[in-house]
Amino acid sequence: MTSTRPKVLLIEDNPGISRLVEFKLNHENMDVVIAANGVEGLAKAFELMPDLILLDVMLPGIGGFEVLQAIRDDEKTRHLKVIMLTSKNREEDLQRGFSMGVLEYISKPFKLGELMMRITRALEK
Amino acid sequence: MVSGDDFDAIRFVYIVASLLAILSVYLLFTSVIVRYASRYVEKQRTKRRNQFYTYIIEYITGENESIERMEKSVKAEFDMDLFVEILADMMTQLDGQEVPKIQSLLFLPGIRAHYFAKLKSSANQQRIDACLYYSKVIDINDEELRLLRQYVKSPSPLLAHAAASGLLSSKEVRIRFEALTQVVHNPRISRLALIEIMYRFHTLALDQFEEESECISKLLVDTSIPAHNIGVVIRAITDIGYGQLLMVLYDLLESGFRSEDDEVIDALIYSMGQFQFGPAGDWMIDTTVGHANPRIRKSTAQAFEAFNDVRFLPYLKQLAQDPVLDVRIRAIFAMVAMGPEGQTNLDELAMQTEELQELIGRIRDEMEVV
Repeated sequence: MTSTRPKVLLIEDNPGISRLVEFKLNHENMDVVIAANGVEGLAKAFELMPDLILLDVMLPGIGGFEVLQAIRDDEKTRHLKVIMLTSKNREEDLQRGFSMGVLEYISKPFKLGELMMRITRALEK
Repeated sequence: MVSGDDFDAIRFVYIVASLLAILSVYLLFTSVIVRYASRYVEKQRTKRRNQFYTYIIEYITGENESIERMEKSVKAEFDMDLFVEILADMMTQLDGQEVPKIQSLLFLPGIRAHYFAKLKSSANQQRIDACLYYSKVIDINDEELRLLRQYVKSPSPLLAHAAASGLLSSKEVRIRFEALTQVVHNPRISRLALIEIMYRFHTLALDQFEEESECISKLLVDTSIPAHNIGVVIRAITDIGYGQLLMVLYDLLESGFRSEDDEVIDALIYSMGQFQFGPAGDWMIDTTVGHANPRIRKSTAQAFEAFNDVRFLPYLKQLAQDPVLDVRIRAIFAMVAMGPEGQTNLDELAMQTEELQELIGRIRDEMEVV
């Protein structure tokens, strides 16, 4: 039987944040898969076709925007919902991301409650 | 037959070969041990890290608020440093109600004592580690404060900077100002380090803006502070938004304070532009439009653009014909930004030389002006 729980792919290299977000999402009845870098994240996106991707802009190796571009370039993954995590005051990131179909932006440091609210909202869209 | 000498030589070669063989085996053996030991340490570290993540996450999410198990597991020096490193990292990533909870874990019994012992150590590296811990702790006690104050005057720039960082976590403006004063007098401090210190001096509580401004205004007139540091301070207070200091800065500019220091003048012009304080433009017309330093002429053009007042157009026109390309470009950008009147002036200017015509055309294209 397939799970009806929403599947969230978190592409984030900070293990503390990954684990914290995973913990919170699990409590909200969501399945979470973590990828610690862009290559792994991209592979998991194609393999799992998650309901939502939480994507950090700053990643080791392939950056967040390159991952996003690859997702958007492929017919199969083009429609996937993406929320991006970025550092504060990076307006150029915001413009670039929205032009590439990013649903939401969350600035670091972020409020956990707000992150949860935005994830729920994005999943409902 | 083998002679006595030959026999000695063979014996010598045999002994040397045996020693080399023993040495090789020894080196191989130790490298294997070292490799296994480092793997073991790394494994332990990962295990401990995972355990700490679980405890911390369960604590801050309210899943398990008992701190006893953390106290029990954070005992060794190795654990304390790792535990604090994780907390510090999480504090940089999170905002909101979780932060005070993470901060409270820095006060686990044993941790503070451990870092206080490091602070008292005679080794600078230990002291620096401790200072960085105190930079995350809001309430510093008297004894810790005394040592941090002592170290901020250290001839070691690393220790002095770390101690300043520790003092800047204080809720009292007076203590943060002590740290800032020490640091800003240091001619060797890097620009980035000073900017960081300025931001930390300010960020703790918005309602301290006035008290902070009073302190900074004392710094601004202190001529013993290196000019490049004052330049950084002026830019930082402008970017942070200390509006209360605008008139202080304007008075400094108008009175010709440190007018021989281009870095100070340049920063003051930047500040006037950012605060969009048009009255400073008159002083700039007289003093900096024709300044010998092209960087100051460029900043003047930038400030005129920020004032967004057509009365500066003739001077921008002058700067648009500056011998330095960078200044010309900045002035043309400013004129384009000033709308139709700026455009008319640029049309006139474009008639003068082919080079100007091309430059203006390229900038208009860049700014997508039809």
